[in-house]
Amino acid sequence: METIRFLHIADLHLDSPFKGMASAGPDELARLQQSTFVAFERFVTYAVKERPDFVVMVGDLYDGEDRSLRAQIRFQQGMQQLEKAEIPVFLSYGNHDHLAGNWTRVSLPGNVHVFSEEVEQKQLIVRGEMVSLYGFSYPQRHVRESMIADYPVAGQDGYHIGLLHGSVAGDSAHAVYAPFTVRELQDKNYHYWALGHIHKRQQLAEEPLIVYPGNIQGRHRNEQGVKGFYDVSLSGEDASLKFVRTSNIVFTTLTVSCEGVEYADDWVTVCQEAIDTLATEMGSMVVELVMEHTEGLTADLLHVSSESEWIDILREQYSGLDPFVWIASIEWPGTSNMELSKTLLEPVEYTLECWDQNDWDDLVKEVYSHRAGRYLERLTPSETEQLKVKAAALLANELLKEG
Amino acid sequence: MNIRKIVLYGFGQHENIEIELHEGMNLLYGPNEAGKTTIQQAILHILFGFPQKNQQELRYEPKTGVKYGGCLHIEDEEFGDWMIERIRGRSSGDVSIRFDDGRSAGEEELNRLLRGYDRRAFEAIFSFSLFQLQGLEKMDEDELSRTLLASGTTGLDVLWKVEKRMEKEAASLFKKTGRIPLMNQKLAEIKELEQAMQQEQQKLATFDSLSEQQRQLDEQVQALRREEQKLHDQAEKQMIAMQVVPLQQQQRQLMEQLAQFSNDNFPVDGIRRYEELASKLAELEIKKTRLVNEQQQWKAEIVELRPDSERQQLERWVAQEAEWHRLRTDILSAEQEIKLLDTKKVQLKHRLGLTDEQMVAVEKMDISIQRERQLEPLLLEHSDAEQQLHALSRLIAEVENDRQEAERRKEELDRQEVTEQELTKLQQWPQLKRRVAEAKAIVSVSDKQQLSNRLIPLLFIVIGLAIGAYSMLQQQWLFVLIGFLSLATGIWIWKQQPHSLEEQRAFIRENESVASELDSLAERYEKLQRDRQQLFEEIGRLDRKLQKLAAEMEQVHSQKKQAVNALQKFVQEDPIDMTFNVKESFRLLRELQDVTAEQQIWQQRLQLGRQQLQERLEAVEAILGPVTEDVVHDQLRRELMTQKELHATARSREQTLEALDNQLQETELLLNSVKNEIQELFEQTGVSEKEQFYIAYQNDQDAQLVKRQLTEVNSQLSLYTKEPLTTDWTLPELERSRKKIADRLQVLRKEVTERVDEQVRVTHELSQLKTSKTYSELQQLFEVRKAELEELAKQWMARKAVSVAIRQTMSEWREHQLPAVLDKANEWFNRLTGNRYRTLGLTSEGYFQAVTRDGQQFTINELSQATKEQAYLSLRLALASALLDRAPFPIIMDDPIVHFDNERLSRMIEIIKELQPSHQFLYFTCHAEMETKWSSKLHKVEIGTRVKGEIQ
Repeated sequence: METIRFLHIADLHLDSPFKGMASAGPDELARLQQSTFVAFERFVTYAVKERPDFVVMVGDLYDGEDRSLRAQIRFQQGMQQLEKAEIPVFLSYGNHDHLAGNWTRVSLPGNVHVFSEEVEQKQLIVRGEMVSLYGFSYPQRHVRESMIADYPVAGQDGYHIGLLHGSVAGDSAHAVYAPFTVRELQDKNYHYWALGHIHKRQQLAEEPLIVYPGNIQGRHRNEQGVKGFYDVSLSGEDASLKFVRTSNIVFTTLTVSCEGVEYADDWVTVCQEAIDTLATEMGSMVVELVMEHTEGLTADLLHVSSESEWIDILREQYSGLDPFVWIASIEWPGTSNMELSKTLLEPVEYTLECWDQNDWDDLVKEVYSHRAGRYLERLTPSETEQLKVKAAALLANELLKEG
Repeated sequence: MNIRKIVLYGFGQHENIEIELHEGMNLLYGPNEAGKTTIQQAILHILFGFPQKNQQELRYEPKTGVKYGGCLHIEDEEFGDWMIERIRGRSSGDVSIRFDDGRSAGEEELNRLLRGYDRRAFEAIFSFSLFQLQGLEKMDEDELSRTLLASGTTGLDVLWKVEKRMEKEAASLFKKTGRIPLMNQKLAEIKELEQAMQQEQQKLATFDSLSEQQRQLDEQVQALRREEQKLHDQAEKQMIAMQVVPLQQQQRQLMEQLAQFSNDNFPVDGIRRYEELASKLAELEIKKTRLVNEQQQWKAEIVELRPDSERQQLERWVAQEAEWHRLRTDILSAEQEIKLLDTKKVQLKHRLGLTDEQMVAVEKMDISIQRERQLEPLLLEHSDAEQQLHALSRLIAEVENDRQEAERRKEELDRQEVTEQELTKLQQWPQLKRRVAEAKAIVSVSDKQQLSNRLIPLLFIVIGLAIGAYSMLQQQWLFVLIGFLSLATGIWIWKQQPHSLEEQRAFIRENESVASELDSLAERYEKLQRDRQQLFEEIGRLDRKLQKLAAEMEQVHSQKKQAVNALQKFVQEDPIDMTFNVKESFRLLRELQDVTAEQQIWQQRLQLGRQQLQERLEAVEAILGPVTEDVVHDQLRRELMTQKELHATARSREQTLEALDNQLQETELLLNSVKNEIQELFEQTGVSEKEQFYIAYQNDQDAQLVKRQLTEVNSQLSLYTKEPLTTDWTLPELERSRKKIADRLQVLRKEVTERVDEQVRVTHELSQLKTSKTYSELQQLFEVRKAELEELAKQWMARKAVSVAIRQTMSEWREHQLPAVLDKANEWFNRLTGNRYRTLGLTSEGYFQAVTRDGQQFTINELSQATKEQAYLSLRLALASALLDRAPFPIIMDDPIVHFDNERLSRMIEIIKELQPSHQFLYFTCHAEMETKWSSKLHKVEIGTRVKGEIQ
């Protein structure tokens, strides 16, 4: 069989806002907002240069109903570039850009083939080889039922590729859309399953390849690491994947050892060195710093300045630089202070320890029942745990202040 | 957990002591100053660290050089037995822990071993002293309650403070209502952002309608443009027609005009050529007239000219001018020469003193050289005689001079003659001389004796003085006398000097000067006598000489006379003055003769010159008429010049005439040819006259003009009429049609402009919408604010959690733990006070109070000192007992019950006894009898000198 080559991309989320960027100034925001476009343009540039046979896009081009026109125009321009390069695009919309939305739609050039809300088959011929693509677009925001039954089993001739925007059934970490099981997919006898929806890059199976390419640009702390898309070559039963990086800004975590560091300026130097090293490797990034071995740091130094001051000092070092570096947070290890009287701390800590989720919910009810609650995410168990640690640290610190 | 052994290396006054402790009660007895408190402090220090140097507490560093610190051996059921050692190191001391199983550990492990208790907490529960109990008296209600509570619950007030602060901070972060808390502010911002986003979204929603509008506008504009284009084309065609129609009319007219003109063959350039020829003709005529006039003038002119022979004669004369002048000069110089010679002749005549007759004679005189020679010897002789006369008279004068000299000298000698007086002196001189010699002899002898004669009297004087002086001293009057005597003798002898000798000497001195004077006088006299003799001889000789010379003179005079005579004889016939120099006369005479001869020659030359001049003058006058001699040549030259000029003029006139002739002929020829040409032109044109010719020309010009206009019109037409006009327009029709189109076009343009403006606006709006970042920026900002809100919420939650946790803990404590402790405390307090007080409890305000059997309530402050202490102790012990599981520490007491009365003391001991099995007690006291109060077994340790002795 003739080898075919295509690009598999999903979850562009063009012009979507970055979450969790507290305290970021206008410059930083501008830089961040640029990044999804930069990532998309990298993809387009790559496609125009490499000339794949076609491109599949598996949903979530935009972030939602409140998508900006600008994003659509930029996407349109990108598609026009691909049209000029004679690259067909097969596109299915996902939960974020479902067909029911009453937003303005810009027209897309002729090389873009959009799947309708029913599972349908589209075909093209690549060097005499028939390529069949199957997929559907989300008719509305939520498609909770399984759609996999509607996908036909592959016929004999040519290549068969499935496009599916959804998640594996039973995966509670994500909202479940168009659930499926790997088995179900494998049963369709396709050569490749191009998935979308999950932002973390992963392969669910090798035979055939069932692939989430992840999103093209991380947008918050839970989308860490390098992002991009896949350059896929199918040759008969053989398939090869090549990951292509697009992410312009990488979300990442950096652990900094403060061993031997005593004074503030040394601490800044140590952090800077670590950050610079990482930035050389990663390029622009939003980094969460995790401090360890802070015993050496002069105790009162730690308690005199608040954590926000430390972060401000570091941020100042990187403001306006290229590559772009944003320090998202600094995590300090719990203070194990011996001078602290445990007789006071322990009982309260014990009390905190004893609280269950309900107790915590009761505690924060005041906020969540308030209209502020609309803008706050529900506490996850891990967040509750963090809150517990934070409260204990706060108490210890306060007691220390009292002497 | 018990302390088994205390070892102090150096602590305060204690050096190297070891104290063994047992379970249960350990009574540590010692008098005042024995170091009980030091040991109690040492335990705390070793466990919890030496106090910081800047703290108030004593460090108990030993004053002597021993090692600071010590160690405790601990029995521990939970962690196994361990030993803690603390020595000098960092300010809290270096600590090391060793377990029985050989493990060693440090600070962190110690914290665990001490169950998280710090010194303050430990002291608050497990260690109490009399001092602390006594201090209670001074406290007011509030303080007292707090202290009691604190001692029971270890720093609850700190927690309270933290709780309050957290509550406050939480409130500053969030309130259900209000604007100031940070979260509320943030919420307000978020609200605003949401609104802004909505507005922005509405704006974006116009995109579709705008797009539609844009499309419609595009179509409209296109339609309008098409119509506009069509009208434009029409207008253009009509505009061409507008221009072409009049042109065509003009063309037709011109054609008609042209047809009227006969096809004349007016020569090219005819008029110009004619005019040129006509002007040439006129010019030639004038020239001819001028030439004829000129010729006549020239011919009328006459020239006077001398014949050639005369002119040649004139030229010759002019050429001979130099000769003429030379002649005149010769005459002049001859006349001058003659005059000069005349003067010379007169001079010579005067010199020779000649009369006019003599002059004539002179001219014939023989003045030959031969004759001159004959005269010479005569002259010589004459002059010799004269010379000798001269010489002689000179000699005579000399001799007479000498003689006068001698006479003068003789007179001088006479004046120097010696006087009579001098002569007599001279005669006495020999006698005197002799007497002087004698006197000298006498003087020379006496000089030799003189010395001795002087010494003797001196001797006598000295001796006399000496003896006198001595004897005066010795008062030996005899010897005084002797001395006086000898002195007198001395003086006498001194006086006895010879007088004669003195006289002799004076005589000699007087005569010696006279002697020399007389000697010179004698000499002078002799010399004078000799000189006089010589002079007499001289005078005689001179007189003789004079006589001789006078004779000689006489002889010479006669000789001279002879010579003069001879001379006079010789020259008597000639006019020669003999008194004069004959030779010179001869020369002058000769000269005079020469001058005369020369004058004659010059006379002849003068005559010749005058004659020649006269001849020439006459010849000239024959031609030129009367002429003065001086200006002859000027006139000659002028005449010659005039003649030459005249000659030249005549020649040029002839040439001019010739030239004029030639020109006349040429002009004639040209005239003819021009006339011919004009005639030819006329023939060509077919006219015979000038006027006709001009009319013909005018016609031709008009025809040309029409032709040119026609060409112009044709060329203009050719620009437009590539294709022939489709309709036959008339101009008014055209005008009307054009106006209509123009109006329509104007309307159209206005419409298009409006539409295009609209289009631009819409397009601009659309492109702004397309590229607008505002919405995404707002979105992003919204997210940021949300994140910030979330962060603030987390902070709020943490604070909320802490404050709630503290409150819960506290209430837990108050509701569960504290009541248990209080129960125990009540029981003991009850027992201690002999059931006088029933309970010890907390009021709702958090104050302690004691309640009597009969329900009377007393605040702590109202209790007696001892009762206060008992309440305090009950509470402490109850607490320690309650904490047994978590903090099984020994209880250290520093004589706290010393004030208790016997009854209460024994009850206290009872209570402690009850606790002994579970708690180790270290009881420090200075009262030895305390031992006896404990009826049960106890371990007693004595502190003081004996203790030290014991260790050794």
